[in-house]
Amino acid sequence: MEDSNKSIGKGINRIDGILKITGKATYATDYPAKNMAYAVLFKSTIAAGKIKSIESTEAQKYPGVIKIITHENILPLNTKGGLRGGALLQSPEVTFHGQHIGIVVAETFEQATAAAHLITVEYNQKEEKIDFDNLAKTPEMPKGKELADLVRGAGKSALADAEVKIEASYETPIEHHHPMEPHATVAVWEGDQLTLYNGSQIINGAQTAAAATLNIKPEQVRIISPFIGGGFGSKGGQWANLVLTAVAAKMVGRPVKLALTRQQMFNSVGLRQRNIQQLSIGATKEGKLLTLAHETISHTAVDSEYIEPCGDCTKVMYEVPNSLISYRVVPMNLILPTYTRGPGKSTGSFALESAMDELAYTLKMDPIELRIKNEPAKDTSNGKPWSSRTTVKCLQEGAKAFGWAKRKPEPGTNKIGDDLIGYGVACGTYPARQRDSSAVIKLSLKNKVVYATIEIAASDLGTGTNTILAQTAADGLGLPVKQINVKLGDSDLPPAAGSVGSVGASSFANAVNDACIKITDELLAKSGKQFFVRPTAAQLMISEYIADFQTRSDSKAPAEAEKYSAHSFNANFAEVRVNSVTGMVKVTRFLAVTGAGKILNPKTARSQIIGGIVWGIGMALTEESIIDPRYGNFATRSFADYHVPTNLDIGDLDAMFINEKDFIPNKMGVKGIGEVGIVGVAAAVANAVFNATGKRVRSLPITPDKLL
Amino acid sequence: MRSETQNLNHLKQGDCTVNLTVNGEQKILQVQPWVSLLDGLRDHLNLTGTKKGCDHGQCGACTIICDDKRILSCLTLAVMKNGSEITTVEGIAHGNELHPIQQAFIDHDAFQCGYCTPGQLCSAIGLIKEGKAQTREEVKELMSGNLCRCGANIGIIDAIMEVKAGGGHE
Repeated sequence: MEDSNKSIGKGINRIDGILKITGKATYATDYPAKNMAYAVLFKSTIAAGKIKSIESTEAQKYPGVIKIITHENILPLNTKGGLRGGALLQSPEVTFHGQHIGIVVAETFEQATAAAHLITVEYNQKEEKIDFDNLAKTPEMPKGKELADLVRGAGKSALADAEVKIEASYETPIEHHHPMEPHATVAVWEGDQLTLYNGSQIINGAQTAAAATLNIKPEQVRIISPFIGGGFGSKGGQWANLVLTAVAAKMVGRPVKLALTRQQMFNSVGLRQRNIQQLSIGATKEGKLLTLAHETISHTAVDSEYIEPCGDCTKVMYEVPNSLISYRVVPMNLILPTYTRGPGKSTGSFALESAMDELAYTLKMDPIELRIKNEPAKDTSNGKPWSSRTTVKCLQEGAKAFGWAKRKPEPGTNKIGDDLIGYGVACGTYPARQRDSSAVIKLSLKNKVVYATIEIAASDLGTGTNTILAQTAADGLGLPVKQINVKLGDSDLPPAAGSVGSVGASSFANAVNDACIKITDELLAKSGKQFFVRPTAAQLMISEYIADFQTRSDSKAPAEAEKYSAHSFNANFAEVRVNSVTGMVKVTRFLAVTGAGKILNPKTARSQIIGGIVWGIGMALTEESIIDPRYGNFATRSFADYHVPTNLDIGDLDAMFINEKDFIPNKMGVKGIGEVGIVGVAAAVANAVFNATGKRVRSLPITPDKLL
Repeated sequence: MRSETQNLNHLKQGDCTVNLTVNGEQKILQVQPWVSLLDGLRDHLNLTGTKKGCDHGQCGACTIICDDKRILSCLTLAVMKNGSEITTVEGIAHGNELHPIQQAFIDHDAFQCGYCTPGQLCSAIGLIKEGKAQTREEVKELMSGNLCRCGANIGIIDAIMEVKAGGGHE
């Protein structure tokens, strides 16, 4: 039974909501600074080659221009300091279209923008590598060890003996994160101390990368990021713009504000790469899997490697004696790809779960039954037992709630007017981990009321971190939420993990919870008394008349966690209507059922899962970036060309959570939901489209032209 | 209506004077004619609640209420609005009393990161005033100029429908 006095587990409103609906939440560019100068980046218009000359005489003379910074005059920076994507103006080399090649600093934003347009650049152009379709015919082995071929049993060769085979190639396009807040920085130097107001999913990561790149000490850099206007992976690792703002501020001796334009967001802060995934499944006539091969070809930058792990879901989803996971890569003259919501798992699950649907159809078997039939007893990729696994529960409870029984197995048979109706299902997973994090709790007693301040260099990019930490502290200290002040988003606070890879909630909440236990223990010791019932920290502060008390806890994952495979799991159910005349697909209903351990706040958690579904719908139906093969730049350069889902695109979405108690991965039993929410969504939609139309679309997004 | 000649005179003088009533207060902007209303509010009046999401009129983050209509402040030059009455997110509430749409946004968790929220709120108020959208589908369509990348769409529409149903209170 849930304790009704507890705050954890209650869907309370966001504690920072009031700031967000009154315009008082401060994002990077909202910080004022005296004597601010404005910087604008200008970018290369070729994809490969060398800058021959930069003609900036006119721009230099332009009213208000303070300085123009290029590779010829920039301060030396450490290009291996931990920023992603290069583009630090340290050489005339150009490796992708849209690489930053200079900065204009002026008195106003408008002057800087206008002056940047007066600059002309000459290049010695090289032939660019940009044609993925062609290059993918001769890909390379990736350098990363974790991307080496993973073969179990007889690998793919077992396919030959299988009674039933599915062999198909699935494609996912380039996608962009496009948080509503474009990446932006305000840099302020005071002597050799630097303050960077900058949306950062990993506060300490941004601090160390900025410091190392600038060749200064981490303690000389302070990152301030209490609010982040979305990130989705693009504000995890930081990009050149962060440090270029700092350099500009140093070089002009004034605070500088630099915000990327929306157009610049396409080629400044990473992207989700295009993937070609070959799925090969061998099974018995009864639907038992014999072999499963998942071979991915991706692209990366010419000078740096990032490959999203598309085979990750395939490693752990099904019981299969023979398997192959492999990656091949093509270096291209394009910005470095990076972590994008559900990295590898969202794209990989599209291929895997589409292929499973194809197998179910071939076998004339219900796709839910096929999945349950191949449920693995342990993690086949490493032999470890599951800390707990909720896939079957997710499928069964979801099927009931969604009305799966109403699905007509034969495609194209459910029709209302011009609309074809289809149901689809797909599963997903994401690892559950806790990362090292520290938290300080400061208690104070004022007029017999105890107040707590929680300090942790965590981040809240809209996920609800502020709120869940207040709830955790409320329960841990015996205080109401309103007496708790959460301070995060500042590198001067105790170091913490990032809001990335679904580690935020588990890492931060466990750190705060540990600190609550520790402070209560210390207050007990200080009292020197024995109690029958353990008092709360708040009670001890009052009974012992303690005005101020504080402690710090440094938390890490339990050692036991290593012995198990811990994951969040989900099952996604989609209902689509496909207009048989126009080919338009509408997701009319969607249900995600998630097993993610303890849900700290069902209201914010539901929002996050629904956000994942919306992302998945964008991935399934609308989002795609196209490269212009003549120049290597994007033909899709604004929200008019790159379609993120709008209010009108969103039907009836719902999220349910499995009541799961799994305290192996961490003491609080929190597994994380940010990533898993998108995993399996696109496949569920694609499978529903097949069920509606009989057309198997293996290339995302499912635009009308692919259905007509 | 201001005449074209008047505006040209402003141009010759360099910085233009723009008189605005912003959230009930008289404000004088001294800006060059190419300054957008959005940048005027943010950089010159320090009203940073209104957000820049694309600067191209494609995302709705900069939506404000100008003379009772929702407009995109990034596609509007400040000089075009001399004499106008403007409400930004900072001016929606009456003192400490939230506008019903603000409370509904909190109750329905109609935002995550909060960056699109000022625009969504102003757009919602404008939409309700327009009185065109009646059904949920119509509200969705007429709120589709405001993007939300966190995917809070359902909460946004629920919040607006609730306030619409409550009717009349402003």
